[in-house]
Amino acid sequence: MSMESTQQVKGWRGWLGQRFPIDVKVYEELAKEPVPKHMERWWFALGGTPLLLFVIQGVTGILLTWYYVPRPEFAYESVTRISNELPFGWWVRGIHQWGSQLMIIAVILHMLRTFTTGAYRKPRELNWLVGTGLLVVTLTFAFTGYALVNDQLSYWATTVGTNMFAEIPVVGPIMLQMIRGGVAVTADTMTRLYPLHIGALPTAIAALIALHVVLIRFLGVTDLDARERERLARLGKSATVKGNGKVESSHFPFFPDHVMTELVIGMAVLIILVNLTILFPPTLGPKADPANTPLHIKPEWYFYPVFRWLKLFPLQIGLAGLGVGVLGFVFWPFIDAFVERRFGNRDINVILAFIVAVGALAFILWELFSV
Amino acid sequence: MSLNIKALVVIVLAILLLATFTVVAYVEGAQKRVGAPPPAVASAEAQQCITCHENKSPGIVAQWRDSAHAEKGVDCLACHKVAKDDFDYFMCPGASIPVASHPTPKDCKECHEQAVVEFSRSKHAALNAQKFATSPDRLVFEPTIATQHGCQQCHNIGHVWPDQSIGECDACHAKHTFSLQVARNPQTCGECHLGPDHSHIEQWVESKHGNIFMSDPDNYKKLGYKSKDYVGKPTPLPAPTCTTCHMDATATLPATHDVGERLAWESQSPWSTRTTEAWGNGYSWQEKRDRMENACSQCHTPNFYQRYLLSGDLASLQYNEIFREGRRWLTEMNKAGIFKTAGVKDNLGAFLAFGYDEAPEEQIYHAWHHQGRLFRQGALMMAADYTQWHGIWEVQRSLVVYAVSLVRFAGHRVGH
Repeated sequence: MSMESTQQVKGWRGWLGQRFPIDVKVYEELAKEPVPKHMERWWFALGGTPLLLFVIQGVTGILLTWYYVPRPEFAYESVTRISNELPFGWWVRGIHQWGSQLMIIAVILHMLRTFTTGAYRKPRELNWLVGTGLLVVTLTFAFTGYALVNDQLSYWATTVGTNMFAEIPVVGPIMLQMIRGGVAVTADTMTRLYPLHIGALPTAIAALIALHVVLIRFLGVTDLDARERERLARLGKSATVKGNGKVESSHFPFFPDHVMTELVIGMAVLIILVNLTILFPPTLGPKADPANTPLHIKPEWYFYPVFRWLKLFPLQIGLAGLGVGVLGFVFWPFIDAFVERRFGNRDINVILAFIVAVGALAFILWELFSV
Repeated sequence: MSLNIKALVVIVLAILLLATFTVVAYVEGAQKRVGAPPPAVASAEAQQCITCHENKSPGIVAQWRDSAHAEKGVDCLACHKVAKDDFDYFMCPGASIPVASHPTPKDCKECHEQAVVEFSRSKHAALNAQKFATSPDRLVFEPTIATQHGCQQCHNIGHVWPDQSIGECDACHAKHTFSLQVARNPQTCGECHLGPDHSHIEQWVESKHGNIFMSDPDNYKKLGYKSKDYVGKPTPLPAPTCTTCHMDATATLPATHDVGERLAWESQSPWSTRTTEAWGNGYSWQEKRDRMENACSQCHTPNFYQRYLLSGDLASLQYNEIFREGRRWLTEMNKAGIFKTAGVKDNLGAFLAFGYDEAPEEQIYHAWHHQGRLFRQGALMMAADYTQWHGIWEVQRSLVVYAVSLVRFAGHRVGH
């Protein structure tokens, strides 16, 4: 709709169109952009779930900031007050706590799908990088949020977690001092982690999500069927070997069809989330006591693979291995391209994903059942 | 899945979500709000007590509302119930409800049997004030009113009730909150365990234990934990209070209300004796020492605590040797007929039971009953100043004064 035509429209649409002259039809068309048929499967519709959960985390997080006090002498008491005294406080905290865990699961599932289907390949390497950035930010959200509760386990998990920075060569000890604001986890650590959790990280994640979505819009989603056609053509086979005649790429509109699939998944996630808060409301251990180290310090379950890995090796070797793993993960699209050029192997991602997923799951279970 | 079916699924899920929200609302409605009165867990009869006493004595009702009893529905009549022939039968004039005017350990035992049984065999249970009222000197110098407001305030912890139960549970578990935080507060023990003859609270304050604990006022708020929740786990305190070592559970030791179960020395009496003989309750002193070492081991290595306790053993034995000399002089004076100390041959409580009527006797009484205790107990409780200056220094000083007064007294008698 051009500006001229907007001026001809009567009523509130016309009024708004004159003052906010955008062509709605263009955006409607954009929303209806056709996406490949394989996107109908739920496995390919997991990208919206982290976004939905991020919105929920934002809303519940704002509600929690109304009452949370980021000082060691008040933090635990304010969390107790939120949980025990304020109307629906337990629920809002429960949604925030469980939401964070579901968000991590959602991001990992989405990445697992992207990884196993090779959707990070040219020209989408940069979007994979953005995705890994989103995972890092999500995990940092979880770590800093857990630290703010200030009960015994959260305090000591923060101490152990931040301790790892000390092992980074040369700059490690200075980084540790900067993160903690001193030698130990104190009030100065909390005043660092809190603005990070409610200011810097939300800004970073919002910017990365925007970039992620923009890149998806620019590049479109991977047409897996087209790739299948190419593969079969290279092998000199027919493009209709699947027998159902659906190999021929067909598309369907993003809106409303794909959005509806996302909505189904989103609703299911919401139901799971609310039920989790009812069945397992958030708990609170004894207040943090810097003078009293608990017998067993464990991080939250999503850090178990890293935790168990570090237990298996001397700390510096373990951290070095972890560093190599993280770098490999982040720059995987380029490694994958190299492997393909050199060895012609296009399935290494599937094998690797299987090994890492089974390994991580085994480490989680191992840590879960070990004292 | 067609678009229509998806839309249908979304609608079904939305209805499910709404249903889940109603469960959230229900759970919210059932939440117990801190600060609000506890839910109506009192029986209809007890509710009459509450309604009336909220005007007449609102303090006790407020205390009860704060208690774990209120939370669990243990109301007024659960403890104050009474039978017609009970010694404390009382018909409440306001409500015509018969009540027990003073619940005894027999009533507490109905729910807290183990605690009451342990207490009944403890040294606390043996402290009935009446036993000490027979001292002739005390009857001369201490009027009944002094005994009532003095001795009995502490020694009533071993009161024997007409129903034959022993003790005053609320001596430590102050009514009507019966708060664990209050019971574990060192100041509760210090209500009685203080002063010139057994300055335990002062010794704890002087010790590293007391210093660490009191360095953070928040530690007092941590004292309300349930011992049974911490069996097999570290005690949630940075340093021990009285109960941590003497009563609370450790990783491998159950909690006890028998306060002597971990004491290897009887260090109050004129002679240091092993507790196999005194307050043994069927346990040898070695078993009791093992228990105390178990408590020490929660924070210390055997090398440290065994050496420390050994030095306490030596202090106890050293005291016996010093005191033995003083007693020998007294015996000699008795043999020479210079003066007569009734009951001097008794090992335990001779002075206390039969009094003292000559100056030398008073001096040696001090050397035992005040300073001798501080020396021994200070050595066992990490209190250096009580071991040294309030303890052994004063013991020696008393014995010097005692020796001088003994000579003067003898000279005076011979001169006659």
